[in-house]
Amino acid sequence: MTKATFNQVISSLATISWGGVPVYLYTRGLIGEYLSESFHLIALSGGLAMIVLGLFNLLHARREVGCGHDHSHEHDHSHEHDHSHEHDHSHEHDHHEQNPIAAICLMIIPVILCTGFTKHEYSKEALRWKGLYKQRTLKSLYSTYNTEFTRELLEKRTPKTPEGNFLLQLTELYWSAGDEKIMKIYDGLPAQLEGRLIEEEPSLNPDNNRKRLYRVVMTCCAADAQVLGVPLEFSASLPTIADKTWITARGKVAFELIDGQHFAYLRDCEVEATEAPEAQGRRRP
Amino acid sequence: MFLDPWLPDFSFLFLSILVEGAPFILLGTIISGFIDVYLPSGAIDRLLPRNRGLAVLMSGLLGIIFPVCECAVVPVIRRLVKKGLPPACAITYMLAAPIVNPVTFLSTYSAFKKIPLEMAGSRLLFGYVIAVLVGLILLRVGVGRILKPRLVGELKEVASSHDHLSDDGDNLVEKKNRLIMALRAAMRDFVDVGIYFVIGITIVAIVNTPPPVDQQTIPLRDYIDGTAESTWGAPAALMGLSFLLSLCSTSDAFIAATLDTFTIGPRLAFLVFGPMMDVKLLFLYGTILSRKFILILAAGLFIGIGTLSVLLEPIFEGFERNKAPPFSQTAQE
Repeated sequence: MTKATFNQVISSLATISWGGVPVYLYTRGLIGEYLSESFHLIALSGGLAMIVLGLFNLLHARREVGCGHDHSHEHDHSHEHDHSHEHDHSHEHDHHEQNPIAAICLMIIPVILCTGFTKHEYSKEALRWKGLYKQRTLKSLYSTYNTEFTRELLEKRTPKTPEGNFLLQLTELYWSAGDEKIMKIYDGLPAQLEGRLIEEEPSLNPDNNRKRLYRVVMTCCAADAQVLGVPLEFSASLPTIADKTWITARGKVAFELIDGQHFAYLRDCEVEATEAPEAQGRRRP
Repeated sequence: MFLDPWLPDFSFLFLSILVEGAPFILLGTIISGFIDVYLPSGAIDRLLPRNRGLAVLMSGLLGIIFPVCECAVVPVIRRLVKKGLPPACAITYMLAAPIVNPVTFLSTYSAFKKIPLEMAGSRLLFGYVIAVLVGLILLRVGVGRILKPRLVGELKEVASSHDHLSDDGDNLVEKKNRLIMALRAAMRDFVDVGIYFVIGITIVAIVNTPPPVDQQTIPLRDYIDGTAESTWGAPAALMGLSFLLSLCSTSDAFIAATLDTFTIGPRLAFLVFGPMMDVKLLFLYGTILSRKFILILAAGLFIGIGTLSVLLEPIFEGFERNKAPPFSQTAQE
């Protein structure tokens, strides 16, 4: 095998290894943990294209082809010399060889290692670091709209359960805090939310009667994700559901003022474990 | 596990950025592969106006016709420069295309619900002006000071030795060979750019992963929120944030929309600086541009965009004043 062919094989393997990642994540149903929904098909088709490109070049790795250029100024093909001599028609336009060691160390190995090490979700430490216990905004989401937000508008556009609970998005409740008029609309509202359960920050849970519901909201990918959390307050004993389990929570919307900042929470809660929704973590705030 | 949970978190972030960005790099490198084999040298240059200033102005608008994000544009530009596109025009297109294109315009429009047209229009105009200014300045700078020395050498070789055949006389075998060459060049570009991309996203993933030792370390975002009231500190901090986050220009507006403790000027600086210069681009640009030039470009963009965002802030403030929601003001009163 010549050096050029060896480089071609390594580059093909690097391309295939990169293409394998999105295809693997997509087929395993894990892509939603990594990317927002608008990127899912792009990632899948990109991954498949990388595999096809890599395989195509792997199959043609030994093939010598012209570069598509006219070399007549250098090679006089009208005379009688043997065309099998040392004219190298397989030269590369860049006139440089790729370093196969760089391709192996920087493209193939990191991808294999990261695919092995990832747990396809944030650790508890990372969730905290990403803002699980923080309020990110001082303004209500709806205070940025031009039309006035009213209780009638809320009732009109929000579906209800047969028990009369408003099916709210966690993001909607999270961003409702901060504006007196909007908080009044939500205050006391019977609501049902879905999200993942986790222990409450001890300093925010002096009576030990709270857990927290959270969702990871990403714009493009997990790197830019924000973790939005809403406390759940229980009048009965705390549920014994494991951390990070998907749950349905029912209760009444309430607000509290901590260090001059408003936070939404759900009081008198009942929770039950549920399946992870299809669009988990994919909705934009 | 060793370094648990740092390593799983890092791996999670690393892969998320990789699977997001790699398809766009692939798109760019496939285009570049076909440009390499099928586009005759100098063809692009012949399409642009002979007047270099006009050519730069037009290059800033090419993103409207060829909309590509910042990851895809780098390999395309690399190839176009080799095909004879003047570096000043190439860099103008490279800086403008991720912003001055319909996809970015629409995403910015939908992210800012209160002032959609103002934000999307201002971003487009701001990005165009900055890219064209850089291009006009570069008209006076020698190619050797902009491009990597290796690329300059290749340009000289290409200029003196290669002429493309037209497709007219090609037989089937030659056409097949050309396809193989195009896809081979595409993969070579993909690996070249991919290596630099990995270095960039490794840094981005490290910055976004909680440190393994001191879990109480304050996240970067909290430091940045603290600069919101500072005239010069706010745009500088948000440009720094966009540099480190390395977001895709097609969707970074949704992040900017949540930075509501900041005024419009710093947020526009975030939206213009990020697609032109971020951690991963720093390494991707390394495949075309000289290191010294990249550093000068980064500093120039930082100062230029920051200054413009501060100077234009009174105009930006007017956008919000005209459309302030009545009830939030009532609540504050």
